[in-house]
Amino acid sequence: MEIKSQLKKVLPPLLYALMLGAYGKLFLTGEIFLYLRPRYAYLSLLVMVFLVILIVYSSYLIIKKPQEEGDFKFSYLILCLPFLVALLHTPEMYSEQTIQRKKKLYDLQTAPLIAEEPGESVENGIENQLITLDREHFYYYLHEIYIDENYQKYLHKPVIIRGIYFQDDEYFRENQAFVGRFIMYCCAADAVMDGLYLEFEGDHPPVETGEWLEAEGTLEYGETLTEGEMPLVRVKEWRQIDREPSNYVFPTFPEYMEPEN
Amino acid sequence: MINDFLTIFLAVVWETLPFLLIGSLIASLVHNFVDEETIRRVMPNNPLLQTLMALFIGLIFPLCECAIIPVIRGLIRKGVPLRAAITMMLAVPLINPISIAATFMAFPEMPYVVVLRLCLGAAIAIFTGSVCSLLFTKDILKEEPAPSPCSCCHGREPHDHDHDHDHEKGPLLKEVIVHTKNEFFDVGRFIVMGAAVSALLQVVLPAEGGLTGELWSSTLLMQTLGYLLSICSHADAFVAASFLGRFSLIPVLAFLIISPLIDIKNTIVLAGNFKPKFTATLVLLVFVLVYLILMLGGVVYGN
Repeated sequence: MEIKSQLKKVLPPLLYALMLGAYGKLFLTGEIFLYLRPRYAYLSLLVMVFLVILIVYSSYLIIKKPQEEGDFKFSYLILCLPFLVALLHTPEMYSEQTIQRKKKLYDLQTAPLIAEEPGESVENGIENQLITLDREHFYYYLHEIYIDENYQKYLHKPVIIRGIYFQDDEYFRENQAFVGRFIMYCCAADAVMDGLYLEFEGDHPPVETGEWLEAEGTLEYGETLTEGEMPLVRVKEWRQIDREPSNYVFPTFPEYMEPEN
Repeated sequence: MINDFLTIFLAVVWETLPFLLIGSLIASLVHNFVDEETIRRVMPNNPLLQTLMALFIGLIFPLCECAIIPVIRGLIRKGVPLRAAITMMLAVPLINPISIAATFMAFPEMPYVVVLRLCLGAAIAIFTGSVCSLLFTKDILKEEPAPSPCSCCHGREPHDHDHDHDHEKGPLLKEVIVHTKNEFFDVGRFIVMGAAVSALLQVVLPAEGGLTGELWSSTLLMQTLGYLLSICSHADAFVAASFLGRFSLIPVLAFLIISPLIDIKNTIVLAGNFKPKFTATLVLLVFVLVYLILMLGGVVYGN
């Protein structure tokens, strides 16, 4: 009984320190941004401040009021569990199954202009500029193409896309694949895989799902296996590239990019 | 698979904890600085105004579904009409700035989710309050309330929890810290369990079909999950949002609406403070109403 009572007093500051340490690791290594969007990640600083207050308060109780009974419940240990896991776990690339589960599906309502000839473009004010779906512009162009359905503006334009390669015979035609990134709205749990279909002249490249690829070609419109007719990149060149520090991009236009993006 | 589970699990926990802390701190401030006598004094006599006030008082007193029950118990004892008291009990955890802001943040591109959650929840709160006031005319309170698991006892043994605080109080700052800590850790346990279930479902449920395919079963599943997980109304929206990829909007709404109204944790608190017949009626009524309204919405507007 005495040991239990003592534990109730001694355990709390140790557990608060463990929790604070886990938060410290997340911020120092930048791992927090693999779980949370920056604007939400910084809210965690509130919890860190609160933990510091609790450490000071519970230490004060031990030193100044050793006779006072502690109010710690052992069921509180459940909340310490994720902090313990965070100290041991580093998030890695999602498995193939989860990438497939998280792939965003679209049902485009706007058909392409039939009269348009290859090499021409609709009136859009965009000349033959190179459309680059890199980290900074990834969400912007996907929003243009899928949400605003403005993909007509970009048809037949040269395009470069960098992202996570995804190929599965069950979901893609033989000469098609997909390159995308995870769009994180709030946290990794709500992230969805979004990007562009790729269409190759022959076989798809010998790249494994989950590896990074840069594909260069033109934006065209073609039939896909699971989503009907969709904009896709007719690939002229491709190369395997190093994985970027984060698999995620945030749903923000370039002018409003968050600092860590 | 384990990496996927842990990443999603931890993401939900990290996202939810700051909001849980803010909710716990405000609940603690209200708990320590505002008593039910103040609320009773400002309650109007007109039934319509009473209902409106009951609906929107959460904007000033943002208590969660667990912390509100002892307050309501005190209000009923002090003569606040049952209709207004029950409406308030159901509406406060839902219609309060923390829950609303959290829902906005959890569904940044779907503001209509916030509107649907508030409107449907408010309608259910008003209807349930009215039905309960018709069904129960006698005293619905237990003579001796059971200890509340609402972590409001500041480390002391559970006691009659009228929030009058007639026991000896320590310094206010200490009271606020201790109450915030207890609330944070008490509810945090359920957040961790909820996040684990959410992550597990995300990695094991099939991408298409199954439970996510049938409206009636997926709505029932998510509503039951919302009831069982008992996640605080200040933070449940983030957990609900994490289900969006697996479930359509109606089942996610079922989770979002049932969770602040009733859950297993506040049912225990209810049972400790109110008579069993009233508790059972209230819980069943709310559960059935949420399900019927959403199924009707699903039939009319699609899944």
